[in-house]
Amino acid sequence: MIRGGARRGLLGFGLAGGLLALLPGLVAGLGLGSFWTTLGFQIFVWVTLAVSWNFFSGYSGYASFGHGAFFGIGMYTTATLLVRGSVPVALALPMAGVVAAVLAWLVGLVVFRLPQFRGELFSLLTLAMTFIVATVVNNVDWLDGGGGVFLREAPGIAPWTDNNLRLYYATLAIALLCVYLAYAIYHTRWGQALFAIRDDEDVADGLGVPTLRYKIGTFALSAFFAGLVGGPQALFLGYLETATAFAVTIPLLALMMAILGGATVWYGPVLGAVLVTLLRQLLTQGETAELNQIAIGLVFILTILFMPQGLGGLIEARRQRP
Amino acid sequence: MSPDQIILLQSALNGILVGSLLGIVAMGLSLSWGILKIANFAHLSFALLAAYLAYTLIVDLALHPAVALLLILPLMFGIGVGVQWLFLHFRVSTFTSLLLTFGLFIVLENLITYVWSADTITTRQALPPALRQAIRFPPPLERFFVLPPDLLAFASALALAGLVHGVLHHTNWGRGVRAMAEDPAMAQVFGVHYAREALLLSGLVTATAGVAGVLIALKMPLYPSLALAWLGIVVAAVILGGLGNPLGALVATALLILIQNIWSVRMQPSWAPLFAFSLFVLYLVAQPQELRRRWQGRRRLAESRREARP
Repeated sequence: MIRGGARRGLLGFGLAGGLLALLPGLVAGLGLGSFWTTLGFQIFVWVTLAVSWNFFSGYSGYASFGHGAFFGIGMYTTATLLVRGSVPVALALPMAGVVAAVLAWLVGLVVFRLPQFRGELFSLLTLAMTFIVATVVNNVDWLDGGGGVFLREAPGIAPWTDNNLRLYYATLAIALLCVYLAYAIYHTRWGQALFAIRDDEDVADGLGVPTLRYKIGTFALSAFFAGLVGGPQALFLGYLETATAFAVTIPLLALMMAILGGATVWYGPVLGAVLVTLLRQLLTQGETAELNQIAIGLVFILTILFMPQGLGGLIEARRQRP
Repeated sequence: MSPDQIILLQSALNGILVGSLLGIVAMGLSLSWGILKIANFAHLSFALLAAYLAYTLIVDLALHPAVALLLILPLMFGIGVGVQWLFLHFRVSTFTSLLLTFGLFIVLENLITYVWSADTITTRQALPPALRQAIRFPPPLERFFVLPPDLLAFASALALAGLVHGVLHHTNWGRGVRAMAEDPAMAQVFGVHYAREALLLSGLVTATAGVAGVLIALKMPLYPSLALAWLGIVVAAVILGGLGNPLGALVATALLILIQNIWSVRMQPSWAPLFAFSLFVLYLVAQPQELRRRWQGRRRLAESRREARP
């Protein structure tokens, strides 16, 4: 299954995962509070969102705003299964990813066949999809119905939310898998196909790359991870409402992280997600939330204007210089 | 007429009036997207910024709304020129402009929250009485009324639409600008100075956001996420109205809000957004062959323009 370049990375990922898994023990040993595990959890959620956005949108050039819809669907799938269905948590979490992936697959089936959905029209379509999903969830009573959903009373979730340690490990596993997948795609024929689509889709098509299959499959996989990581996020929040679960700022932030870190390299979004999450944490402690958002927005604008390849692009350029 | 019918007709009337107000914003977006190939979502933020500035001028400095408009117009013109200069200088593609203006959108929303707070504010108490009293229709329609700011917005929308149409189709400058939209490289060969006309057009378009902003401040309570609330419907209207067709954008906005209002009377108001967005998606998916060709043509032209520009 895993060949060549993709296999070489396995050892590195295993080591990184082992170290991050030991971290909570170290933190507890040093007598530091659950603040650090919560921060770790948040970083893993954003790494998953940014990286999964990037291995479809960054690699193929189809910038999607649908990540907010998939993340929100993941949160609401978990919440609905737990609260209304009394489904065990271990089953409700993966279902979140499956539902998001199915929606993406259905949307992709229609949209990627139509030549008008390239460039900005694809972005707008996925944005409209987010609005539509949010409106439906907001109006269907067994999903939300406008009053919000409380997860705290749901059976079996107490051990997950007690000290966030389980959430830390769950999101660590998801993030590792997601980053490894981005790495594997980047180094195989799959990635080459997506890059070919980004460079010139018509030429790629003409040369026999099955672009439609790659686009639909990767889009669904990308949505799967956004939905999957929505589950732990729903448990963490304990209360969902459509205005925040489907906020436009969520896909935008994931996109900003990916572009800031470098959308053309596999590790770019990891850098972007870690940096921006830490920056947000740092800024919300001192100044007001607005200044924090203004700063992030300005950094994003300046990055696009002066460093369109992001941090990852800079690093790659330095590495390739003899 | 039964009370039920009166409510329905009155909300339809309000829909057209509010629709023409947002239609002014949609016209500007349609022009900058269709002609300058800049998907400028910050255009909505500029309108909201103008509304907040108008609030400060009218309430805090006790100026007449007309004076406020005169002060805001040159400022918005300057902002439009500045933004376009950035786009030209960095040779931003349509797609990148979408990302950039979304960044600007976030910055402006938070800037407004920071300066004016997240509370809902209104100019209502500071307005001259003539702008506050509802105007009743003459009999037999005496049950219906309009508010003066609504009437002003409607008249301004019509006047601006006429002006834009007249300038684009009946002046040499307008013909040059339209040629620029069709084929920038060819237009330059025939003596259209691309950078200069683009800066001027962007300034004028942003000035119309200033007009809309002052009217918005007169018409409705303001809060920072208002621009986000308009985003869906305005963008849908710009596409449905035909990109680069300001009249189409105006009519589409008015119709969309009219339909939403009627829907809200008869059915649950919270379902209302579904209509506009579903229509938008269906239209994009089922675009007739002719329109599809135009979209692709535009994209090719935009690319050739970027390469052709010195």
